[in-house]
Amino acid sequence: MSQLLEIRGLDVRRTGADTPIVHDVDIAVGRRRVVGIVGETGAGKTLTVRAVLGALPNGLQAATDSASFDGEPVANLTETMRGLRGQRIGVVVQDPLGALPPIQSVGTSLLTILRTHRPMPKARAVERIKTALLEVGLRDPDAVMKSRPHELSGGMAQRVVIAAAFMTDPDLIVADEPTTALDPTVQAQILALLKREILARDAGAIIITHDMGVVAQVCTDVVVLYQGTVREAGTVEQVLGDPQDPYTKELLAALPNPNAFGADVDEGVHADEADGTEATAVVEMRDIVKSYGRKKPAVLKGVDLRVPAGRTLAIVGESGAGKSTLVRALLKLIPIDSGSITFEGTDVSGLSQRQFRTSRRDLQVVYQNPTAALNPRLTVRALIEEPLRTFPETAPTAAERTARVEELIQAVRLDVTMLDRYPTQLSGGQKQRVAIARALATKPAVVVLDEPTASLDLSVRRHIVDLLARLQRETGVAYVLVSHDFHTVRSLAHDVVVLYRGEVAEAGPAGAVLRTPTHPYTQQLLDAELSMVPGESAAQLDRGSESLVGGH
Amino acid sequence: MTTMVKSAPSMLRRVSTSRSRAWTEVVVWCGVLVLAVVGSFLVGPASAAIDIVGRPLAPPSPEHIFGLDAYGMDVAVRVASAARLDIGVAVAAGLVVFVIAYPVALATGFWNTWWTKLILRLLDVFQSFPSIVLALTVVALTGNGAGNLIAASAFVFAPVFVRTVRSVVLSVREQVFVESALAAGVPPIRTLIRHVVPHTIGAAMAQTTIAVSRTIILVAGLSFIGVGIQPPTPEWGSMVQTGVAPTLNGAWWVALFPGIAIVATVMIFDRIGTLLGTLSLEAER
Amino acid sequence: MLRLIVTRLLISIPLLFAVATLIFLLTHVLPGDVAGIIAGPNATEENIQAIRDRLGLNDPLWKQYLDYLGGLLRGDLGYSYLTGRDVASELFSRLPSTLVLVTVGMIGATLWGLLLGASVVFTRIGGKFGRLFSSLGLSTPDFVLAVALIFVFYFMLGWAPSPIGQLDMSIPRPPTVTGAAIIDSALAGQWVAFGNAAAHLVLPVIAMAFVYGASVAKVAESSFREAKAAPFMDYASLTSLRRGTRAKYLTVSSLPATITYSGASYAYMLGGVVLIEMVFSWGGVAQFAATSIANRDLNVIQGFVLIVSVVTFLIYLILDVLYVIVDPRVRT
Repeated sequence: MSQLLEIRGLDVRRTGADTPIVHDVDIAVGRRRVVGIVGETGAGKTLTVRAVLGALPNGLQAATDSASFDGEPVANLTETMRGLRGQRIGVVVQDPLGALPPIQSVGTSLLTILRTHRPMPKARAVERIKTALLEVGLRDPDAVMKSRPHELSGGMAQRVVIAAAFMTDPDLIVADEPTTALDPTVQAQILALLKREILARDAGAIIITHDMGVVAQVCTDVVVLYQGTVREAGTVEQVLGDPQDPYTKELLAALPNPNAFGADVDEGVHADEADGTEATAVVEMRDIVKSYGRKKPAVLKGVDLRVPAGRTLAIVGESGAGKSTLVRALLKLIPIDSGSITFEGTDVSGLSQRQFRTSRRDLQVVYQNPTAALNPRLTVRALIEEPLRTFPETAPTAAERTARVEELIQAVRLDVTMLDRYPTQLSGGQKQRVAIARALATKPAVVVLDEPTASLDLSVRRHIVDLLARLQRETGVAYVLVSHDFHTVRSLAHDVVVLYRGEVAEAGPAGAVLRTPTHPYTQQLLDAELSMVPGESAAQLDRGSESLVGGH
Repeated sequence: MTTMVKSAPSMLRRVSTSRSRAWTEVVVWCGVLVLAVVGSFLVGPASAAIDIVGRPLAPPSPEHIFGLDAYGMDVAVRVASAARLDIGVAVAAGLVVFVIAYPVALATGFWNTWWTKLILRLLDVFQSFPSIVLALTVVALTGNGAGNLIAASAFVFAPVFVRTVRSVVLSVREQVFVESALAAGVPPIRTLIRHVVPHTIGAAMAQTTIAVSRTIILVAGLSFIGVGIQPPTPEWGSMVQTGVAPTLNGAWWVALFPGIAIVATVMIFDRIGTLLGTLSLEAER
Repeated sequence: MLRLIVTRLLISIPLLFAVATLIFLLTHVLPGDVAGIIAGPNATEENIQAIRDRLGLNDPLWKQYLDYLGGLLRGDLGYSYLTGRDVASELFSRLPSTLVLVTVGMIGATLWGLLLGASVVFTRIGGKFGRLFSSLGLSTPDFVLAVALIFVFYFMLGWAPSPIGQLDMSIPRPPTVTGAAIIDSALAGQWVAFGNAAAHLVLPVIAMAFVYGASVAKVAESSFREAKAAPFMDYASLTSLRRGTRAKYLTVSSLPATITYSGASYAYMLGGVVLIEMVFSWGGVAQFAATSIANRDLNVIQGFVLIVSVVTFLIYLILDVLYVIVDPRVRT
């Protein structure tokens, strides 16, 4: 069987540059084969695929040793592919909401795409689109066609884009991070949909992703890309079952393991029974109610939570469940409608910002995106020092401050020479370490970790999580961890609170809640986390078809 | 672990060549402006600009390179001499705007209370008037001395300054590192000074140069109408006005040269403003 | 939609009230002895007092304010001390001429601005000229350009009609309906006059288009850039849509911002054209208002500002309604 698409020796370089950004990449896609191109950000995945599609931006050029589509050799990728895109090659993009022009209805956009490549009477085109929309699981195609792009949810928009990609009966599907922008619970459904459609039409596919879990779930072949070159390639069974290249192994090691709880968190595993001696709560929130605006439904409908000193409480739930609202209420960045917040034994609910300021010494934050959270104009030293200057009692003299700053930078395993650098000169992982050092500067009782690993590359996440665990052991700080990444949660959390639509669905010790959840929503969240063994999650995905989660 | 530290020296090198080129250009243009002002003093005492030195409407000649105007005064001497007034008033107005409107922009962008909203509404009202009409009103009521012109211009251009710089303040305020500072307990005023000002001062300076160049046009326009600097004190706008009738009869030099002076000076200030704007944007990266 | 309009109209009342009060304060409370200036340098104290009486300036402030408000409600804007006629008729007789100038001028500025903006974003050579013209347009005062245009096109080339007023002296004037020559001549069917009036519009409109078009160009440029880089344009390319379709997507998504800007400038221009009106002796309301301001003709000043405020308000209302129709994402 001839290959659907075969590219050998692909190079992508800036026009006029000597060194290529992508070098000597081979891609081969056959019918009923799904090729995953996997790598971290900056690996060159998108550039590679854009080159293959003939859609490189201005200023970039591609060159190949050989290229063929459906057995026919291709001389000029750009020209040939442009003619094939939209009809024989369907494209699924990362940002589905941005893909459709906001100036017209979804239906009009779809009609334009279809009738550009398959001229047909409008009535027949409309029928065909409606069928396509039903096939991707949208139950009310009329409503979808009439609506404007911004009225759809992320999941719905992606289904529309998939429908658009498949409606011309293409031979090849190219999907660029098709589920990254979606909620974890919707991701699984979309991936299953893609795989089903590809196989049903005997088409082939290329899927770009940074997540090995996605590869494990949907792909038949995989190409591992690192800094523009192929590190390893083969079938999924080969590469995931018996990886040869050290980088591939690194990527695989970063995958979630449902049974790998943090070593010292194992106490939680056995602590389904009450401990007897309860550690004193450093944070206690009771019956928190919060809504934005009188007419809108409450974002938090009476939430309780409790953080024992020196332990980690994880707050999990999908976006929109109220996690960030809850945490911002705790930090007193937003006011609450009712309820009480007790911090270190004192009721702080009614305090003004000025009154609360001194308490902030014991309540610090590490944010999701360290690039945004660190002022790019300050040196690392100035950044770590700022809390010490804000609360002079922690280090009254300049000498003490310097000493403490050096102590902190070493505690986060960075070299002292980093102190005089600027954040723009550091990698993502290093920046997050600086943010952690800064948060711990005043020896706070509690540090709020707001999705601390979400913006970091897979290979780095594990190290940051290990760092956080070690720091907790060394300093006895308590963590409030907000995360949708169960790997992080398992490694750090002693206790877990599951939020569902503004209410507590389930709460308890981490081992109990995450291994034997009682609430169906928790079960779905866990299922949505893709397993690394190929094919195992099929049962999970069937279970997920009637889902409680998201509006899709 | 893969380390991705961009080597510090090479990055600084790459950044600083384009930045230093931009700064050099800024310095050059400022030098030109300073020369113009100095030159306007060198050209002679104020009396030289109103001396009648020949036949009215004499065309340009080797002795009077820009010709003579309707009263027989040397156009070139007057154009040069007017520089100090036109540029001086404009720069002064710009400084006044900066000193008053920048703190207002910071405050209204950082805080959102009833009084900030009130100030913004007031500014909105003033902004809906054409600048020339507003300035005209102020000058008509206060008199047309240079000081009043400075005050009128500052009054006219402050709202736009506040609006534009405020929107930059708002977007900086939304940055996580500002919230991070507040959440970490840094007092609000300190956060404003330490975190917000450095990221907004570039925009503020760019807006100041815009105010300066708009003032040049405004003052010229006011003088053209007759309520700005009074003749015979040399000022480019009033010189254009006295040149209108002669131009209709062919004596193009009377109005053209002061006109060119206005356009050239405004372009220089605008160029400085653009450079400052790009420099401040680049520093954000 | 109806709610939007009604709410706006309701808000307008206190708003206009506030504006009227503000104008009153501005003209009555600022320093500078109006009566003294009107009377002139040789006036005696008696003259000045007489003028003060006539203008009602000797009454307590609150009484002046109430008289002022009362007059407004009656539609009485007072009398111009310069011309002696009532302010309302003076202003409204000149308003249409200015409206014609500003309308045609703003259309010209919008088209020119779109052209410049598009040339900068979409072409390379055109871009260089686009930037140059933009820069010149922003730096050149409108009156300077007007004088230069007059010199080149009237004096040197003789193409343009004499730059005095809306019609050549030699052409019989059409009966006055609105005061704007081009409208009146069309209404009267006097097509020779119409042609001449149109010719008189050319130079001032070019001056306006070049100068104000430059700031429209800035908005157009950023609007085109944004649209060009939008994800849906990329997707349109990835799905290989036809060139015409992509051009349509681009234009439709970038026009609203530019047109809004032009529209918003419209009311501003009603006063901003004063210098052009002066250079061309247009006889419009801006010129009249400027003279009145320079002469401290208080009632005229107040009336003019009030009219401009009303027009501004109406224009913003129309723009907001149009925006809601065109872009249903915006639902305030």
